[in-house]
Amino acid sequence: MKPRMLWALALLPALSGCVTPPDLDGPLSDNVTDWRDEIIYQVMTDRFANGDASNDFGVNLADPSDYHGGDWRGLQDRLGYLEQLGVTCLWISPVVKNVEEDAGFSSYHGYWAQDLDRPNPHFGDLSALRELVDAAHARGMKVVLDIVTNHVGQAFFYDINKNGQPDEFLMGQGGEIVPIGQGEPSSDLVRVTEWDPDFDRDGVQSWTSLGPSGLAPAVFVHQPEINRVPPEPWPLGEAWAYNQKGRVTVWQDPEVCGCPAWGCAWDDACRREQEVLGDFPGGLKDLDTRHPYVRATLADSFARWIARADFDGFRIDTLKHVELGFWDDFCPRMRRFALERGKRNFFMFGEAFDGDDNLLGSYTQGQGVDSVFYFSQYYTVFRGALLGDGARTCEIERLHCRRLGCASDPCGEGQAFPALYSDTPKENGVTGEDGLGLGPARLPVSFESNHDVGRLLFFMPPAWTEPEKRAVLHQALAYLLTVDGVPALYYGVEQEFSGGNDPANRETLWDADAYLRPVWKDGHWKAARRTYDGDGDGEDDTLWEPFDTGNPTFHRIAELIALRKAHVALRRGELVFRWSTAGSGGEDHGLVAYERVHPDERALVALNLGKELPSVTRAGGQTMPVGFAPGAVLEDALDPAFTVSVAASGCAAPSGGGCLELELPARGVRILLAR
Amino acid sequence: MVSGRAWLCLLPLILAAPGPARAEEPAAGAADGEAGLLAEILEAFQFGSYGRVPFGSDLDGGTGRPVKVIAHPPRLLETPYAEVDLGYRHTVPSTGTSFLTQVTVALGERLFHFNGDFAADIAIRNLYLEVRDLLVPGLSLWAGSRMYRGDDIYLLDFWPLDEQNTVGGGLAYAFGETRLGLHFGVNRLSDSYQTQTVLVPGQETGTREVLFMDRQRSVVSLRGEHHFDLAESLRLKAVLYGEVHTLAAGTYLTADQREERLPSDHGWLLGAELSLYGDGPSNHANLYLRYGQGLAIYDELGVPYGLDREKKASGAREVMLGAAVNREFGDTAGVMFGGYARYFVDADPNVYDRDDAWELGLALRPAWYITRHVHLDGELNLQYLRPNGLSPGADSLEAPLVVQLGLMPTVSLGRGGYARPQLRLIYAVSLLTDAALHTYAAEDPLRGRGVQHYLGVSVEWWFHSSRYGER
Repeated sequence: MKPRMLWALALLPALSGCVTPPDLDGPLSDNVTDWRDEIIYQVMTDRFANGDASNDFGVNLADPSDYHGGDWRGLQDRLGYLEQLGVTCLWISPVVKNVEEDAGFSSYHGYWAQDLDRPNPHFGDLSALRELVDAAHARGMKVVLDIVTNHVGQAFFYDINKNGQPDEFLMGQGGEIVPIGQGEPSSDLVRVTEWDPDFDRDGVQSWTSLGPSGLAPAVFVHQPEINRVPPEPWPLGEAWAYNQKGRVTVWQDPEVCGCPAWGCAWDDACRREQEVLGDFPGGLKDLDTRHPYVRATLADSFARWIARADFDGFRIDTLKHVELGFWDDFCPRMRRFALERGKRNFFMFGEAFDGDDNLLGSYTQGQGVDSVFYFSQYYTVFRGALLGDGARTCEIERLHCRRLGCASDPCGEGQAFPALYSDTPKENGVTGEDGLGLGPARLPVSFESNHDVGRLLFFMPPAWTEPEKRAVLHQALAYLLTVDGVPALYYGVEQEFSGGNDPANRETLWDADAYLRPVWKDGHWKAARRTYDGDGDGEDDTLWEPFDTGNPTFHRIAELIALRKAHVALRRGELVFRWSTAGSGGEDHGLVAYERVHPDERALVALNLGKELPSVTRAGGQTMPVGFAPGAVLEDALDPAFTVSVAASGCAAPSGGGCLELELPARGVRILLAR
Repeated sequence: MVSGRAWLCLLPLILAAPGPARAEEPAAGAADGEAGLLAEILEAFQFGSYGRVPFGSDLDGGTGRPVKVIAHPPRLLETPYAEVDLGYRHTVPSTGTSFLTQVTVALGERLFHFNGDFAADIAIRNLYLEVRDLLVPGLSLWAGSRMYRGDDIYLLDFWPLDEQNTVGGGLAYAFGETRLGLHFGVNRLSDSYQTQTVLVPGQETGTREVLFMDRQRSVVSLRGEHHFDLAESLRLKAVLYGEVHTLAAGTYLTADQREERLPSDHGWLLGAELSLYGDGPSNHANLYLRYGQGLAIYDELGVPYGLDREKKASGAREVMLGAAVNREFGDTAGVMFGGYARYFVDADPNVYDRDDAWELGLALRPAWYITRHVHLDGELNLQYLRPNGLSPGADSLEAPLVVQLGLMPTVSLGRGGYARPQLRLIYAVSLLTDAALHTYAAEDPLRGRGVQHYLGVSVEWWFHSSRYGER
């Protein structure tokens, strides 16, 4: 071959556009100034956007429990949409390779890990993931990864009858057990599944026809066609890496632990034992996170993901199902790893699916997570006060008291509230712009819905009209985006999705069918595309498109986020409650108001949670004390035509502050800033 | 006419007397004129074959397997394969026109005597009729199912330009040193990319099948070839080649009974070949260049992968440079070379994509002709793949490299790199980098073997083979 040919051969790759993928061993980016400035947007990757048809394995759009085809490339392609909405941080569903299916459901959500070191091929490959994160960073967006340390997928079965195969039994007649001689004999209906047997504190026991036979062996299965093979990496494919005690049952039957019918205290020993050591329902096998090898593997694997994709934080699943000591070990390791690679402010917030502040606060102590998913707020405010009739808005203020402590009870019932959430910064933990550490109490991650609960619109009474529902949704969003902490939006809220509990709340954002609603036409119910008033002519004549950016809720969220970004008080200001009610029916019925106070500015937010009548910040002849100086003119950021002046008297004003008589219509909200 | 069964009965006679034969007597009752016409037709049966049967050991109790990290790896280690060509030619001397009916049966790698399965993988590779010298000398016409091929890179078992497996037809016209060929073919693969059959309720009871999706792929190829004299014993063949592929739109019925519209697609490919030959019976040096986009760069018998959001291949592209050389040095020695470099980018939007890669395959096979029938061949080859994406196992860019060394004492019909039949004793050692080992599944025992040995025997033959354009 002549030399020229050789040259041509050597140049071929260069001429044809050969590219070099990112170096995953390089330094990590340092992206976050202050997590309180961020607005998180939770994405279920499979349901957000399909950008790469080449990874559409086993996609079935009509089945809500199947993969729908969304992927990291699709998310990357839609960053502009999210930028337009204003969110600053993506929280993406788990990325690791999963067991493909289980009991007719697929692992589109990503929570059924099989290999902690491999990406889920349904969503793309490692390069696609890194490309997404790099693209997000290039737009100033951060990316948080959802991780699970508590369990893996349904990797093994308990061979209760020791026949070497997974069995499911239904036994008995399902009737009442009647003593012999007192009627027709019958037996209870018993269902036993070796995939997911009930909790046994001594470990799942085996039984043969002759009686008990010791611990039931944990038998890993080999079904490569659905990737149900022993989990990786080592030792996750070893039986001793699991607690092997069977499924948590206390949720269905609290009396198992001797709990009263209305539930246990969070620290009830029996319930905690089940939660920590039991398998997660669905046969998701509970890792023995006390074992040092298991801990080391989990830490190594998830640290590797930080390096691989340059993630900015973790959302940690099933926090309360892992013993507290684990978090004091795991979280510092992650912080150190990130810091050594040049990433400060690596943020970890955990999910303890529980409305009890005692429990949530317990995870904020020590050196564990930087924050928790604020479930108590979710239940109190979003599922409680906002959907209620406006009574006792003091419960919202109490929520704040339980987090940060209050000397007196906002509901006037005599209690003092010790702070249940730690305000002590973690070592190497997240800081504010000033470099000072931020304690978990300052960083609760607030949400109005998520992938585990139905959407807010779903829980609104069917009798409410669409404008009424929208008004309450907008109130909820206004609250979410003006309280302290870190707000998190669940994808699709900007499109007014209204799905019920899992999997109905995991709509396919790009699928036009997700924008249908039943309409009564020609004597029949028919599915028709939703519409809205896009041009302000009073007619709902604009067709609701997938990824619609003109609808009223997208518009409202973008407006609220822009407001939060523009005003440091709304991001970092102290939360000071100015008004709440302990009863109902007064002239201040349904009112709640709070200030966000920052050294540079302050903002006042007021909501009327009442559904029928206007309310005013006046009770017993006293108006609302505010931190704004008397004479200050406040303007509603959502309605600049509305202004109100702060009076010098009428209340017990705080030092330097004044008094404000503010009237709000039913379902109204005002965000007031000094003009 | 001779029916299919009839000529099978006549086969022993035909094989015994392979020269031109008179047509059989006309059927009783045929008109005298027809009898006269038939009487002047010359007929010839032609039997041909290509085949290879290797067997061997990895020196560890196993069978030894070919190593493949690129699309067209060197063929030092192969699996069994054979073709049986049956042709029958009718020639009308008065017009000079001949009719060739060609049937080629191919057998895949399963051998009953090896695996004990009394079965074989059989495919029909040729089933066509070609009419030559129709109306004017040099004009030919064909139709049917056909392997339609140009020149190959033997050491890589790779046809860099025209390699159609087609059901269609074509025209060719050869005049002087020029030959032009036009082909049109179609396929509709039995996969869910092109075909879908669904069950629907029967008109009264039961079910019946409906061919719901029926997307046919069409391929048009055009080839022009001209031969030049460069010197007294050196000639140059220049080839220009092009293909256009189109795929019809279709509708696929998903599991949930939704209709998913699959768009139409297309692609094209342009190629050129320069071939020096003439200074010896089998000496040649061929250089190939090919560039293609879209559907045309995917094997017509495969389902395109890495498609774009609309499930089209339109963004895919490929550039390939290849070479095939054979040089004989008198009766003493010869050397053969084959190689290609190829850059491929699929249509999906991923930039750092493991499917996107450039690859290199090189093979050099020197031969020493100790006697006419006893040769000693050696081979040095390599495979190199450089993907654009990260390796999922190593979190880094991994570029698999495989180097093979082979030594082949060979018994051959004669001297020369293309002399066949051959019986070879093969020893080969394959050296694999870690990146190459990572292409094996984690559970594959070969993943741990960076050095792989092979000792085996292989036979290979071809004669009158349609595979190599001999008829």
